[in-house]
Amino acid sequence: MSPDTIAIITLEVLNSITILVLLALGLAVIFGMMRIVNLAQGEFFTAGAFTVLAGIRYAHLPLWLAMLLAPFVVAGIGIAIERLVIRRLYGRPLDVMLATWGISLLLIGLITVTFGAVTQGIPFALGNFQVGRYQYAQYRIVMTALAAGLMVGVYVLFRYTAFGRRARATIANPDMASAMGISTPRMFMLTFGLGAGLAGATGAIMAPIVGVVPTMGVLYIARAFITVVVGGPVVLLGTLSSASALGFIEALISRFSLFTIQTAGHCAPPPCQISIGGSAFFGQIALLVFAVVLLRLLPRGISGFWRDRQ
Amino acid sequence: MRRTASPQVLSALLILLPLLAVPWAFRPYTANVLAVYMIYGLLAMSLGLIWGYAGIMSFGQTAFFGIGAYVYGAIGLNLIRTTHQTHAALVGGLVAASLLAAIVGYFMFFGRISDVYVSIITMALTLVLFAFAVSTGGDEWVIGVARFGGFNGMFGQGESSQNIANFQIPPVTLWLPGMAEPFEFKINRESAAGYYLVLGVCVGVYVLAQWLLRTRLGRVAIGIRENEARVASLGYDTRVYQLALFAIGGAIAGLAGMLFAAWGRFVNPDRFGLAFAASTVVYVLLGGRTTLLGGFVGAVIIGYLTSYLAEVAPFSATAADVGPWGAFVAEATRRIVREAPLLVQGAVLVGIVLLLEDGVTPPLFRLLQRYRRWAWWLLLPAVILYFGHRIACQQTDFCLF
Repeated sequence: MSPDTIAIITLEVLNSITILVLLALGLAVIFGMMRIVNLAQGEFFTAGAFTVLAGIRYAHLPLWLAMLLAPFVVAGIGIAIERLVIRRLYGRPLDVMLATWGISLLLIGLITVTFGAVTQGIPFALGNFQVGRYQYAQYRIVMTALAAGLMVGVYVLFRYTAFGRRARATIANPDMASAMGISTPRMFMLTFGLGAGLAGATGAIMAPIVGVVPTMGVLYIARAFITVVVGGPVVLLGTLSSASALGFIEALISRFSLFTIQTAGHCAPPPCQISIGGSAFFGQIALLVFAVVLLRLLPRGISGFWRDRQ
Repeated sequence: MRRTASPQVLSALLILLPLLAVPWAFRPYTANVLAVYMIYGLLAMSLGLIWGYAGIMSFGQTAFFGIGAYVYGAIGLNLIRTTHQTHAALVGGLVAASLLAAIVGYFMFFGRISDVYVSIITMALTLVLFAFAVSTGGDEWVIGVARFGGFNGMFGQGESSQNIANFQIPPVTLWLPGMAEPFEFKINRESAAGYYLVLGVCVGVYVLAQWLLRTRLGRVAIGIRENEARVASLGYDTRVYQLALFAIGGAIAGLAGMLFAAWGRFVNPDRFGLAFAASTVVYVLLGGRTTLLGGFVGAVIIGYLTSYLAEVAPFSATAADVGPWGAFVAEATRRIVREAPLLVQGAVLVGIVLLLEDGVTPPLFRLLQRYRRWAWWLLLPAVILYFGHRIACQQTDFCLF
């Protein structure tokens, strides 16, 4: 393998990890910390992407402003859903799952009613750069930076701020937190809103590189859950490590399966474009199989394994 | 003895008599549509069995349904040309679905993955299969004469596909030794054999499942649902029982899938899709997860509702001269009605979880039990009279009203 091929594969792995981190970040808060199996999480991505679309198409905002707006809009939706539905169902995990699935279907239906069922693209400002013989999108590097920024931001928020301490106290022991004067319903609401907002940010960040369509959340929800589940009980670091492992596998297998297709003569025109999306389903299957086998070996996830070792 | 059995016998009569009469009492179209609801009902029954009785919440019964349908289609298309029957396709579909369920179940239950994760993994399974089925559009995805066809669904190819019937997945076709010619289970003007096949399979599976729940397997499964730790501490290996029931549920779902492929003579990736997976859970929730029959009842209710909406919606066009607001309202209504299945499913899910936990079947059954005297002497004769009249009307043009 020539150096530029190695470089491009490294970039692909990085991009795959970035996407998994972005997908899992909001869910790590809602599912990893709060233990709410929120199946409407995928529709929070969709809502974020459609906020960007509506912002640039109907309100004629610049792209960066629309992207900045998306997390706040989606956090609002999340808070409304928490107040109306999820609040009534704490302590009934299965019912929460079913209700959020209903919400997910309702949101898909409502977004389709509003925007139509067509796939829409978001025009895209940044160009490509050259890696030897290959071209690579600059925006994907920006995505990695944004993902890293969000990850650090969430870590700092939960680790070092008063809000983070209260939120962690509320999740760890609601009764005790409430006895200490923390308004636990408010903390649950805000934490859920934060998770929804992070998902909205993810949708906004991913909007320029994927087709924006009402059912797009469905494509990502499974990978997001798998990443958090494999991550295990130490939520943020576990998610980061499982995203790294799964992203590595996914990118390599996608790349490998692309190679086999290429030699079979189904790749046009040479040199082949590297696609990280539609045709990468071998990578996704490998991700699922790897995750299921990993959970068979480490039932408490990657970070559960560290803990058990200590 | 008769007193205790009477509500069960009564409800069996109230359900079975109309279902038996439908092909005689209505047009073939009705029997055809009802058959597919019963197939969905069978799928829902497989979920009701593992969810209601073993507490395994699978979002991915559609994975086994779809595998059953695709394998039946792939083998059936190849087999029908040479042997004129589909025996091996039936066996193959069933084996494939149970095997997939057994493998996935092994990793889930022996990995001691808790209930919520089971839902997520089964859901991921069906979505991955969806992605896989969609991406099989190319020329390399052909088994014999069966093309996977990606989004367009499975169909046959080759020189004999000049005839449209050879494009399609064959109906269930039997050619046992001693039969003069192969027998096809179809639903049309001449024959309702396909309908009775579906009904027969549903009744058979229901009876088998009821029997299964009375055996050691069923009793341990119910124990696991109630308190897994206690069952385990009594010395039962809960994983084995969960796995066995999950595999049986997968086999039933695969059976439903095969019936579906044979019924519609077609299968496409939508059978793995999220909307279909959601509708299965909705059927069970609406009908009630505490009885086996619940999913079946839910499927027929929702099926009736959606087909009613689908019949009404296209004809609800409005006049052109209604002004901008009228046009806006008309357009909004049209779009809402078009998305109605999703919106209805979502609303039913949220509504039932918040308001009506047990679904509709248990309250209905309690009602029947309380007023069983009335039901025996009024409801049952009324049902018999109604269907008797419909049959007379349909078969001999003897109509009173």
